[in-house]
Formats: sequence, structure tokens, C-alpha cells
Amino acid sequence: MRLWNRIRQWRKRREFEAGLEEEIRFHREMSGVAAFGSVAMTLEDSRAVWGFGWIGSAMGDIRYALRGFRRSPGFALAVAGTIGAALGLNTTMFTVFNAYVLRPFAVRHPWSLYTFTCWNKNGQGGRFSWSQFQDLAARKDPFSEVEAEEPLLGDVEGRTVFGELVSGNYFSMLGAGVSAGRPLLPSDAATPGAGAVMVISHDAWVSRFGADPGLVGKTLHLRGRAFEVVGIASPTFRGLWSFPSGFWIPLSMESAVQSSRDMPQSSQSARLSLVGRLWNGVSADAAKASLLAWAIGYTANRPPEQRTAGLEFRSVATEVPINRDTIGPFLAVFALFGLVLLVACANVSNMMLARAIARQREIGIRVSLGAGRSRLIRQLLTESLLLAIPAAVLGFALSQLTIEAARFILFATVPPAFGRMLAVSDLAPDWRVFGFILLASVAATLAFGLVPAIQTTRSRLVEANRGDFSSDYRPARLRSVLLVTQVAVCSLLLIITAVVLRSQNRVNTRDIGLDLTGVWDVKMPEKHQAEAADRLAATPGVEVVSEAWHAPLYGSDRSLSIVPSGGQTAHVRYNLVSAGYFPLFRIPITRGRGFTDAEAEANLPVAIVSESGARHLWPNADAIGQTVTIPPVVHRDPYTDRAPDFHEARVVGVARDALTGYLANQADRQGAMIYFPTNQRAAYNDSILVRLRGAPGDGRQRIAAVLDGIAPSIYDMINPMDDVLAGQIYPFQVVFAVTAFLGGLALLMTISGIYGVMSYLVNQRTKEIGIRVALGAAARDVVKMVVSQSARLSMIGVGLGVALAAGLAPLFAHEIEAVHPYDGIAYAVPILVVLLAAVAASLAPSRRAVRVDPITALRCD
Amino acid sequence: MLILKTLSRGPNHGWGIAQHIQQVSRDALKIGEGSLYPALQRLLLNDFVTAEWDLTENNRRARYYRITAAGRKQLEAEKRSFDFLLAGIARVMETP
Repeated sequence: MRLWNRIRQWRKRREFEAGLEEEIRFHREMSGVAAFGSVAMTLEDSRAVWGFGWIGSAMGDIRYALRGFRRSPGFALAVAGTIGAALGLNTTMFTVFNAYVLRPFAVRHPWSLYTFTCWNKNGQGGRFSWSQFQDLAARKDPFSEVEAEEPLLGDVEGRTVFGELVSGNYFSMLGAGVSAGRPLLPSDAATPGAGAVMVISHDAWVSRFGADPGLVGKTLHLRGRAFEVVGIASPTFRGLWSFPSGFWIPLSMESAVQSSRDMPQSSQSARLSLVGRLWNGVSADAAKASLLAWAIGYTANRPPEQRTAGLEFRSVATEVPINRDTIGPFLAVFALFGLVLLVACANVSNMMLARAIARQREIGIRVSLGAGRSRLIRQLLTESLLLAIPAAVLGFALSQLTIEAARFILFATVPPAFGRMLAVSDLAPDWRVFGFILLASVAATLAFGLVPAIQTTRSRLVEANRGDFSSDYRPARLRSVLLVTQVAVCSLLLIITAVVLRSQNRVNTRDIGLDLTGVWDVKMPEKHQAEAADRLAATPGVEVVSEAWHAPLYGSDRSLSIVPSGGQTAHVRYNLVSAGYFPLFRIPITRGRGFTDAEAEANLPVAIVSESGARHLWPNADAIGQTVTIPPVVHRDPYTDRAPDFHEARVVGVARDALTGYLANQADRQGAMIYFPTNQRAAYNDSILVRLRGAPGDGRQRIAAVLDGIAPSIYDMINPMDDVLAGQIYPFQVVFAVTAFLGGLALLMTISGIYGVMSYLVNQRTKEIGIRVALGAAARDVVKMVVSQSARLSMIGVGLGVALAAGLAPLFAHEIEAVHPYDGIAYAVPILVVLLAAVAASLAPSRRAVRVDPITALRCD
Repeated sequence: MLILKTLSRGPNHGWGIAQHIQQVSRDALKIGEGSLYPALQRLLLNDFVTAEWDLTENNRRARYYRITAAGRKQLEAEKRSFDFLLAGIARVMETP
């Protein structure tokens, strides 16, 4: 009401003024007394009640600031550009953060969706069986509805797509719509083995099938089975996991696409993830307790080590749940980007400060005319805010550009084997992104505008009027702090860059002991493996075919405990491979012999150890002929833990060491490796490895052609091993590229910052330099004076940066062995670069100082 | 409060209000233009009074202020709290 009155009055303010004046005149005439006090004063007081002064002065400030920018467009452009660039970077970062962490899934009531995993006392478990799913769904507590899903990475007509097997209520429970056709219905998943229908995600439809308008109704093959496409999901729906899902098929088709038997019958195989919708008003804690009780009760009659001992319960409203584990990495990246923004702010702050000091005389006049300090600060802040608006616009445009460019570069540089299945979450900006850029730009404005504003208005009236500010007024300290901050941040970023680069080189140049060229890794369901291996082996141009539990280089090696004859229990890395594995990767058998085909086929209890394994397990004896005992292990997930069928094996050979795990990992690089035999008919083998002769370029097509002869699209992936290796190095390259970019930007800003500050200082000290020259200072002394000042500040900054880097090092030190956070060279080079840059940036101003003519300098006042 | 009380007897212009308060209080309270007009603006802002131009008895143009319903309510509230305060002061002064 008051506000409305105010606005109405503001619109008729002229009329109001005239009325009020007339009224007061009338009052005076009536009273007939000689006028005491001024009419203007009464007018002013009356006006103040309505709060017009504030609006008026704000308008004045804006007009004045705009006039100022028109006078010095270079300054305005530099400020808006610098802040805009830094804001753009941070907005890019936030857009990604928003897409994965903040934005809820486009499903009905995402915040009531929860998933959970159970584990036994050995920490194993996590997935659920079909009967558990049925039991929980029928229980209706704590979830009103539960859906089950099972991930599947498969090849759909030559396109690698990540998809899911889902229960029939999946689409209806999530409220996920379709843009064409129909969703999956409960009836699709009702009968085991039936329901060969598929819903394709909108993204996959566009990127993998060229937005084919006639796709609905067509038949696509997945793992050798034909599926009818019944619908295309709505563009906003991508499943409930951080990796966007490309297709959905009914869970009833499990037997057709997976190796195991039908879901309902195999109550022991637990492969389902469950997502439930909480009843209204049920708290997460209560639901968790209820679930734990259910899980413990359900597993009560199992052997003790299979009983549920714990439960993790988490929201699936967003792609990445917000908790301590996930916030950490994001905070680290945010900190990096934030530092660049800080450097930009420091730069701009210095510019503003220099400009504000240049305006001291003007401010002095304003102060002496009675301007209050708060009024002056308001004026200076208005100027900053006005600069923040174009900066925010520029930042937003830059962030959109950066995202597009990054997406392009990502797809252009990622090893092709991974590029084939890469899918990126939707990164379109939404209100959160706009809110962020607004907040960030205002925060940046306050950071770069407030400090100079407060500083410059601190001057005293008399001195200000005299135009004398250098005597008592000392903004130098603030400027030094800003400069030191810049240098510190810059050297920190460059040190990180150097550390990552050195780590990458270390990983890159490591001899892995495997010959990968011409080797292809084929992943496919078990039931076709034997036939595929036979056919591939018979194909001309194929040199060797080998089966392996896990192909090398896809991640950390698996390990198990064994007891070597005459020794103590040892933890060793292990793999199960067929006879062809060693010749295929050109791993020489240095002593003894490799597996024979007969041994592999018959699963005989033999083993091959690596050279370092032989030294480790039998330090004082010959490894050949020794035995290892494998302690029995109950109920393990054959993907991560798969013991061979025998409990004692004889070592028949020693193979040259090879790196088969995660290259950057200490544990995978050192320690023993032991191989057990497997064959093409064994269950749970993950890979068929093929070495081709001749040009490797068309290997994929050649292998695919052979496999399609069995049934269409029965394979999941055909990857060249070279790409698998490149995939391990790629994350380092990405981190390096990002930090190098940020470090370079920071260096550029720091150089321009130092240059600006030093030029300004030289200008300020013209008189002093003139006197020094007049008293006989040589050019060398003047240069030394200027450069040493900048070098001193840079030295402090570099020291701080090194201290920060060393302080942060422990965070990066663990786990990834290849990263040496205390690498001397990685510190020395950036330090040198920053110091050189600092000196170089101050050389130009110092040359100007040398040219100072004492006569002119002294005359200038 | 005094202005609202004055206006509750009927609409009046600025000068009239000042005169009335001065007469009734027998010159004890003199309200200068410097405080009267800002006070009137505050009342206008809060919708306690409305204003319109009219002619005085001497045929001069003047702005007449008229109390509103909200104004009357405000007057009641202020009167109550003023009475309360006055009673409090009186009790303190009367205590020996």
C-alpha cells in the first residue's frame, strides 16, 4: 500500500511539488509573520517523507556513471571483458554442476524417489533378486511403488548404446512420457521371455538413428534378438542414472539378452537395482529403518555371511546425489575456477582503484560541497554494478560458447572406442544457471567495486581540496595485497598444471609390456562366446584368439589371497586367461611354458606367475613346480571375484611382467600377478581378444561381419586395445588441458595486472623519480627500483602459491600413484615462469620511468 | 495524533490545522510549517488522510485534508497508548 502510494506520487511529482509550494506560501501569508526558515527546507523535508531523494539520486548516479563510461570506453570495456571472461568460465562450470547435481530428473515428484543397496558383513552385495523385488513391491512399505532396473551396455545395429532392462511399471511409476509411440506397459513385462519391445530415448533417436521419423514400428537387433521399437521417450527423460539411458526393454526379456536363466526362477542371482517411491509423509530415516528390518528379515534364514548387515539409502532426485563424497571433487573444481575469477576481480579492482585515485580531485570537490561518504560509495558502487550487467551478459554468452566448444573437443579427442558410447547430459541453461550468473556477477562487483570505493572516500577534506593525496593517503598496501594474491593464484594453477603434465608423461612413457597394436577386445554375452571364438579363429587374417575373464587395461586388476607352498598367505593380482593370451599380447614366457590348449580346455590346476610374482612368492626358490593354495570363498560376484574351480594349482611357467590394471595405480604396477587357465566354454568370461594381421583400420568391420554371421548384433562392444590404453591416459589429458587453460588465463591476467599497477605507480612517482634523476641516479638505478618493487611482490606471491600447492598436495597424493604432488621440476618451472613474467611485465613501465625528464617532472605542479 | 484529532472534527487545510491546535492549546503548542507539512506527507503516505484542492471562505485555493477510516483507527490507537503513557507518568509523579 505504502509502496503503491509512493509510486503514484512519484509519477506526479512535479504537480506535487507545485502544490506543496503553493500550500506553504498560503500558510505564510495567513500567518502574516515574517518568514522564518526557508521554504526550500520545508519542501525538502516534505519530499524526504516520500523517499524521492533516493530514487532521484540513483537515477543521477546511473546517468553520471554512463557519462563517465562514454568518456573512457577503453576502461569500461576492459573491466566488463575481464569480469565477463571469468564469469563465463564459472558459469560453464556451474552449468555442468547444475545438470548433474542440482537439477532433478524430469519425472513425477523426483524428490520422493529413493534407491537403496544392502550389504553383508563382508561388505558384499548391493543388487537384488527378482523375488526380493516382488516381495518388497507387494509389501507396500515404505514404498508405495517399486520399480526394478538392470543396466545393459549393448550394440544396437552397430551402434553402442547404454540401456536398461526395466520392470513393467517403470514408465507409469516415474510418469515418464513419450514423444512418439507408447511407453513400456506392465503387460509388456508380464510373461518371462516375451515382450520383445523397446523404447528408444530421444537423444539416442537423434544421435544414433538420425532422428529417423519412421523408427517406431521398426525392428532393431540387440544381442541377437529382434526388438520392435514401440516408442521414443520424451526429450527430457533420460533414465535415473548419471549416464543417460539410450533404450529401455522389459525385464521379461532378461533371459533373451543375458546369459542367465529367467528372472523369476533364479532367485539367487541378484542383479536388479530397485527404486521406490516413498509414501507421502514418510521420512527418509523411517523408510531406511523399515527397509533394513525387511532386508534382515528376508535374509535371516541364509548362511551368516550372506545375511544383510547394512543398508545405504539415497535419493535419486538428481543424477549425482548431494553428499560428502560427491561434493568434494566438485568443490575442488569450483575452487580452481573461482580462483581465476578472483584473479580477474583483483585485476579489475586495481583498475578501479587507479581510476578512483585519478578522480581524487573530483571526489575532493564533492566532499567539500557536502557529499556524505555513504553517498560517494553509493556512486562508485553504482558504477561497478553498471559494469557488472554487460559482464554478466558477456559471461553468459561465453559460457554457452565454451560448453559447445568443450562438447565438440570432447567428441573430437576422446578415443573412438569411448566416443562411440559417450552420451552427455543435457547442458541447457535453466533458471538456476541464470540465478548463478546474477549472484556471481553481483558478488564480483562487490568484490572489485566496494574496496576501492571505501578506500578512496577515506581521504580528508582539506587535503582532498588541495589535490594532495600522496602524502597521507596510502592505497599502496591494498594494491600490493591484490597483486600478491594474483601471483599466488597464478603460480598455484601453473604448479597444478605442471604436476598433471608430468604425471601424464609418466603414465604415457611407461612400458606396459603388452603389444596392443592389432589387438581387439570383443565383449559379448556368454552364450555365443564359444561359437564366436571358433568362427573368429577360423577367419583368415586372424592370428590368435584368446578368452579372458577380464581384458587388460579396463581398470584395476582384481586380486585374491593365496598361500604359496612353503610361504605365508599373500595378496596377489590375478586373471583367468586361455592359452592364446600370452602369444596374443606378445608376453614372453621367460621360464617354463605357457598354458596348453588341452590344459585350458580341461581346466587343469596349473598357473603361471609373473616374474615379480615369482620373486615375491618364492624369494629363495625356483617358482616352476611350486604350488599355490586358493582358500575357498563363498558366494562371490563372479564379475569382481571369481576363484578358479580348483583349490591348488601347480606353477608351470613364469611370464614377463606386464601392466594390465590401472596404469596410474601403485598397486597395479607392483606386486605379483598370477594367471589361471580358462576356456571359451567357461562361464563369466568377459572378453574375447583377437589379434588381426594386416591393416588394423577395418578390424571392427571385419570382426563384426564374422559375429553378425551368428546372429545380428550379438556383440556389445568391439574395442581396439590401443583405444583402451588411450582411454586411461585421456582423463589426465583433460585435467591437463583444463588446468593449463586456467593457468594460462591467470598468467595473462597477472601480467596485465602487474603491468597496469607498475605503470600507474611510475606515473604517480614521476616527481620522485625526477628528483632522483636530478640528483644523479643512473637509468640502471631507476629500472632496478621499479623492477625490484614488482619482483618483491611477485616473490611473496610465488611463495604463497607454493605453500598453497604444497598444502593441497595431500589431497591429491593418495590413490593415484602417477601423481607426484611434490615433484620438484613441476614446482620449479612454474615459479620461474611467473617470476620472469613479473619482471617482463614491469620492464615497459620502468623504461618509461627512465625517460622521465627531471625538469618537466618537477615543473608539473 | 494532534493533526488527526483536529481533522476528525472535519476537513481542514494546513494553516487551519496549525491555527486550531494553537488556539485550543491556548498557545501552548505552536506547530511550525517545518514540522507540519512533513507530518502531513507521512499521513498521506500511510493513507491516514486524503487531500484535495478546494476554496477557503476567503475564496483562496487551499489543500483540504480529510481523515480516512484508517486514520480514525490510528487516532484511537495512538490516543490509547498516549493515555497509557500519561497515566504512567502521572503515577510516577504522584508517588512521594
